[in-house]
Amino acid sequence: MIGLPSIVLAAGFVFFYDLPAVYRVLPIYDTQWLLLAGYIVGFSPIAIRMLHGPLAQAGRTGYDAGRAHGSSALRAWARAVLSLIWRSVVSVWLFMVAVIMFELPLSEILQAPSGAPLAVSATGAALTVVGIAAVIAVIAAVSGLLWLATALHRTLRISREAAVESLIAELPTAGAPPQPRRGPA
Amino acid sequence: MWLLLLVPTYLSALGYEDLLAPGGVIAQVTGWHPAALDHLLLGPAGAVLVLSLRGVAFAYFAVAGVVRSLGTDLADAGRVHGLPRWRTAMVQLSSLAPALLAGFVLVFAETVSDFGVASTLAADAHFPVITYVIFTFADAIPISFPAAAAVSWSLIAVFAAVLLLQRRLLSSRDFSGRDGSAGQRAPRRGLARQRAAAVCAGAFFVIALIGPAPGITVSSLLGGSATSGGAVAVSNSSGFTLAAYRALFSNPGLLSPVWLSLRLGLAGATGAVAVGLVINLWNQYRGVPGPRLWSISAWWQ
Repeated sequence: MIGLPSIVLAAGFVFFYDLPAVYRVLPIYDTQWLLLAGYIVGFSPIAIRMLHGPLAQAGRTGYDAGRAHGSSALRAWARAVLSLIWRSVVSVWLFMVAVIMFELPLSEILQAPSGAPLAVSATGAALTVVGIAAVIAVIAAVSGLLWLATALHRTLRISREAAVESLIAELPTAGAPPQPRRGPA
Repeated sequence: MWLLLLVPTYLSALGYEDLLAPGGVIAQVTGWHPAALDHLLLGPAGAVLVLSLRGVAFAYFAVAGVVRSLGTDLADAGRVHGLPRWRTAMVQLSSLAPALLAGFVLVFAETVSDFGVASTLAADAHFPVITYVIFTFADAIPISFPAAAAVSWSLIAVFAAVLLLQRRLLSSRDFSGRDGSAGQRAPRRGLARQRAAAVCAGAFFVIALIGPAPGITVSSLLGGSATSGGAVAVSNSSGFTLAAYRALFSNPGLLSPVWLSLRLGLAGATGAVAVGLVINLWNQYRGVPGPRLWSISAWWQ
């Protein structure tokens, strides 16, 4: 599927969704939905490839442990696996946003009459520069949010660890003689 | 290298065109039009240049890991057995053959199916490229489905033939000559060689990345060549001007392609990542043991 040229995929989409029988059931031909469907179908194989490594590395032992301790499937996966791979997922997502923004063959063939995407209408250098700036702004904004979330998480963890440390310090040491109770004055 | 992958070929092609065109950046800034270079760019040589620069990134990712793990074992063995330097290099190269072939197939697939250069440099120079031929059939009114399908199948057949050739070449020989030890770092080369390698790498990135970027950016600021999209004419005065940007931001309709692509990019990326996660999870958590053929990702990828 990765080897299938986008232009061939786009021609296939036009052929299939323009069929009267298909159009009656799913009237997305000549709309932005067809272009969106083309992007998702065209770029999913790359996403599968890019996410395979992180997911395989995370494994499923954490998930199984969560399930054994009574968590629901979604909760066990979110806490045991997602917490390990979320950075990779966000990186793949950002990569996809940047590539789809400037994708040409699918955009050229599947564009709707209601509006042309950037890759098709970027005949002016200024529009191209603004498009590149928009992508950089998205990447910077998401990276900034990630950085903030990581910093917040680290701060919370440090404060939680400090609270646990203080609790441990207040516990009586094992084997130490019990403190004598003070009687009423 | 990731930047090379991210920059679409049509943007590189447009950047070079903006640099070298008669009314382009170099002609306006220096007053000299590099006609020979411009002529060379608008032809097969230009298409090969732009596609090769992008292909380097794919080849790098296909080969880099294997080269890193190669170590110096084979070179040491060759030297111990008294092989001349070129024979030692050939021994190392032959052990890299599977990775080199994989890189070749990857670059070939990308090059053959590329539409960016086909719709810019090749279309401007009026030489037909297979992807542009498919586009003309699929974009015609009425759409010529039989012709588009025939050309598409020929494109897929070419790609399949190269894949079969790769499989045949790899299955005819045994490349498992590794001893399993961790690759050792090659000894550091002399200062002169390091400098030469750094200069070559620098020149490559200047041509591949930094070349097109000023072409697009500066041409958007030059009075004579600046356009703001949608065929809107801007100032014809010479020198630098922000007229293209003023025209762009004073007419919100001109910016609509950016917003549309941004929305589609965000939604498309979310959909693709969701599909990627679901299929990977399906295989990891519910995949039945058995032939890989029955795994969803096997045929989806």
